[in-house]
Amino acid sequence: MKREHLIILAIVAALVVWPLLMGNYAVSQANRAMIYALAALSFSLLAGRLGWFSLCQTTFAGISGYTIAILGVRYGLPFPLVVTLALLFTAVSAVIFGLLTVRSRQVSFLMLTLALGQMVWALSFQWVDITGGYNGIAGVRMPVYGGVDLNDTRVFYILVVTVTVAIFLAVWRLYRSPFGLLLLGIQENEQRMRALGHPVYLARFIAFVLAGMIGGVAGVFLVYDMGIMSPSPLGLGHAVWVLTAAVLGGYRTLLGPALGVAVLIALETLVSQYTDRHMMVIGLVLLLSILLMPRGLAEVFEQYFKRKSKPQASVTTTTRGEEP
Amino acid sequence: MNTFYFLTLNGLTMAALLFIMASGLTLAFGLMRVVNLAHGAFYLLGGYIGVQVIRDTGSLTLGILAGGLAALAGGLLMERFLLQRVRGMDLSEALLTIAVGLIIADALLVVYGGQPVSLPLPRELRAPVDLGVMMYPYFRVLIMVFAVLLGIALWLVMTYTRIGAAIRAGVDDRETAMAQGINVPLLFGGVFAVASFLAGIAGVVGTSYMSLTQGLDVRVLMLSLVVIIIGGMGSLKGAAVGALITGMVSSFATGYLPQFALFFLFLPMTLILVFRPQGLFGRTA
Amino acid sequence: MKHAKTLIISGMSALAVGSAAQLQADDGLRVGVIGPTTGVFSFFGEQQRMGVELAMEELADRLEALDLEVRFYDSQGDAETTVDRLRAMQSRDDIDLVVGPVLGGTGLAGLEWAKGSGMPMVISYSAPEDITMRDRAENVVRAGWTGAQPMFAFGQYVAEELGHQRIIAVGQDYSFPYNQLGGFLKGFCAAGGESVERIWHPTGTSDYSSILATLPDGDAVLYNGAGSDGLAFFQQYHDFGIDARMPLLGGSNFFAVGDLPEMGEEAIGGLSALQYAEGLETDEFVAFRDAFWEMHGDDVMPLAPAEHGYVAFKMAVNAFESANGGDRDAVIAALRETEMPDAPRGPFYLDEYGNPVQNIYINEVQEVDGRLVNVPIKTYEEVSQFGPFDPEEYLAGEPDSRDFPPGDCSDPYYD
Repeated sequence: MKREHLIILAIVAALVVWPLLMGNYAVSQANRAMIYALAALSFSLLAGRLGWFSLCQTTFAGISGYTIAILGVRYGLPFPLVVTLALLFTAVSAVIFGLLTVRSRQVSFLMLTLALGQMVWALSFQWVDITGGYNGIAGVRMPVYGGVDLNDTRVFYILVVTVTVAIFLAVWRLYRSPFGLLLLGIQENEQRMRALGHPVYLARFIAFVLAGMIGGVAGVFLVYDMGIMSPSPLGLGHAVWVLTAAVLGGYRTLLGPALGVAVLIALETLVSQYTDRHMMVIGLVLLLSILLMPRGLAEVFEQYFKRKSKPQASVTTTTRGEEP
Repeated sequence: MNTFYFLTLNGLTMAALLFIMASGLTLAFGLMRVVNLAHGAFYLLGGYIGVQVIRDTGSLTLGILAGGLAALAGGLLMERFLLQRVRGMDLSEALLTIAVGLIIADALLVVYGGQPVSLPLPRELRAPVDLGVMMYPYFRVLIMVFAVLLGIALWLVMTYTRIGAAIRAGVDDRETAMAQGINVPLLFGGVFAVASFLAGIAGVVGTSYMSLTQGLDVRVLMLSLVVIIIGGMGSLKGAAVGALITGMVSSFATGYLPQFALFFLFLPMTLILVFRPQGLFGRTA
Repeated sequence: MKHAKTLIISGMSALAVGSAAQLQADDGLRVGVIGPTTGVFSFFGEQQRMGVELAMEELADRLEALDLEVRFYDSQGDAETTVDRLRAMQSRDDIDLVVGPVLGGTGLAGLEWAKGSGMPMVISYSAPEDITMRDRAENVVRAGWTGAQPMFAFGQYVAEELGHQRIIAVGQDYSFPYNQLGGFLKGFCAAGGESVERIWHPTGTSDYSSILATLPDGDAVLYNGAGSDGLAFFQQYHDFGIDARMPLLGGSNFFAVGDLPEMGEEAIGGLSALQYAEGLETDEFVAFRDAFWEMHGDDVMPLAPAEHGYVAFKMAVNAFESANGGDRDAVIAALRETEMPDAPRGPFYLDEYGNPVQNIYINEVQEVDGRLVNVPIKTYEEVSQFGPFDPEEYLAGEPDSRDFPPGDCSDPYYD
């Protein structure tokens, strides 16, 4: 309990100190890392609580990004309205996808989300009149409010950091709420939850839409960070990247996905000095994570600390929580 | 009228290719609950190796075999050294296949580069033959014939052999299968090998008219998934029907409304998901 | 106590990472070259890199005098990666000028970034016309072309010299082919053509049999696309024997970006248009080609992306020299004044919008010394990005799109 607060405090402190000490590039890297941490959180919410591995969470980011680019650049709608509509439209998409996938199990869910995600990706570069196709839509900018340019790397950082921390805290609460525990219960024994009178499909559906919304928020920042929206963030490569980060960091824990993203970005930066084989590196990381530490870095650390303080604690108590 | 036959034949060619790819995928899923997401990468692997062998030796048969065998080797290695470690954990197996797919595709990029590759067929294979209703390139007819023969062969194996019975029984009946004297790990390996072999062959055969390039692996995988989602995962009959539907829809949509072709490609899948989530011939979970 | 410890540790590690990320800046000049050197489009990035390396070798003395250093960055052909690399150039690596990006989408992303940062940028092969038209920026110039630029001349050639009246245009469904066809139509209709029927297919289509099955009749087919789509279309076009019915004309990239060896002998006689031809026999070109082969081996043909990278880098060096260093405004002003009388592709200078005014070659695929090359059979000199049209009028008009300009040459638009 106390340790958790401590870790959160330390992370918040580091996030505050970062822009004060670092150069512009390091700050913009941190922005990207947080955006992807949100995407990975969106993935982990489903993977960790429901055992649902989704390959379409980046798709929701893409949908929200495209909505912003289209409404903001093509139609010139004001910033707050654009963001609201983007999140709304992401929610609608998540509802539709949720209805199509809610009854499926593990592997078929993976396949369905892969197919649906690829469908949107295909649409994004095929529906040229709306999306600009391959070239995408350029010129996506945040407004200047009272002399403060929201596009400035550091101002943007403050925005991203606030929202990211808020969302992580909200998900933290969610994991401990009766609803979060219900989701875990469903993952463990669906029949029993049903027998107990819990609305299993509804719970899964709500979780799916919530996760989609988090992906949508990531998409809002993603498109403003890049200034251009193109089909590439919707491709399978990005979906697999996010999945790899979450598996590497530990998708069952709150901070695992963020940790995974940070480690993966650092690793990529390091490795890119020696080789050009980005995809192979991602593939190897995913492969080794699954074979060697299926629970991810976060739980490896946790176990290590636990063993140091009180050796009797086991991992299961931290991941499963109490039954409702 | 001529156009109608033309589009139908095009649809059938595509359906044939889709069936060759999807049948292996769906059988492996039916037996082991493993969806091989490296299937598209095996298509690429088979294609590149096959084309290279054909260029070096001039023999088409040798090339097709080499492509199939390369993919088979990849599939077997993956099954033996990776999937067996996490057997029973369906998701981990699926994720491992994603990782393997990435690694294979990237390795092929290193070896063969990013430029597209084509397979120059000998003139006699490309010459059109008279099908009664119209002239159609000979090799496309061969692809269709091959797919039909493959379908019949798979159906015979599934219906009349002990192995087929074991496959149909699926992994739930592991004990029964063992009691019948079937070596289950060998059966798993065998089915996986055959599935990968078919993907590899499809890679070479498909390159006879579609160029081979990076990124095609994902498209091929996506199409195969669409086929087996429509047909029902694990069902051979479903793979055949799913391939036919997908092939036909794609051909007619490309012919008349090319800019919406992709939309129409996904339409049947979405409808199936809404009204019959287990697929046309899938077992209810 | 524990709080403090955690805080200190996280602060220290943040510092460590930060100091590693922060490189020391010095007084020398730095040029960053960006292109897709990995991934599906690595061909383009590799060509550019080889071109720049050749220019670096040729200009070695001048680079030393300028104290100029070159760094290569990989865009992976991805807009997001491109923006990230560009940011690294500016705020981490202290780059003074960017050469690239190479591809259409990454070019637009680069332009967007350059507008915000003010960095001088010489875009090489990337061809969206608005980079030097409606969205132009003072600090961005181009060493290459716009999609429509070579096609004005091609349309004119097809109507006047080949006498084709009705063209069936098949193409990838996105803005570059729209722009190519737009230029073609404007040239074609002005020269007395009759009509162009458009058929667009999604990028990444591999089976064209059904498009070919419903292909209307015309005097010729023009295919606007390249890469795996172009190769598959080419192959199937011949499989179904349509070449016997209608000749196949190529968009600018169709025969020009490395697919000729895969197409084989059937490509011989294929016509297309570009500001470049690897079959040129001018002294400047032959010297460039031989030096390129000497450096990179003669199994690699220097194609347009290589020459554009070579020229873009030379433009940058010239600009630094006339600006006497790295002062941004002076460099930009010098860049915009660029004249290249001895470029391998032929002489060119930049128009007031920052795009080359250059030769356009009508190329025919021929077999020369055992390899297939594009040989120029007709040259249109000093063609600007606006073709024969008035810039003001052109810019006031609608940008090319899926169905603009009209496909019927009798449309009032052409009056």
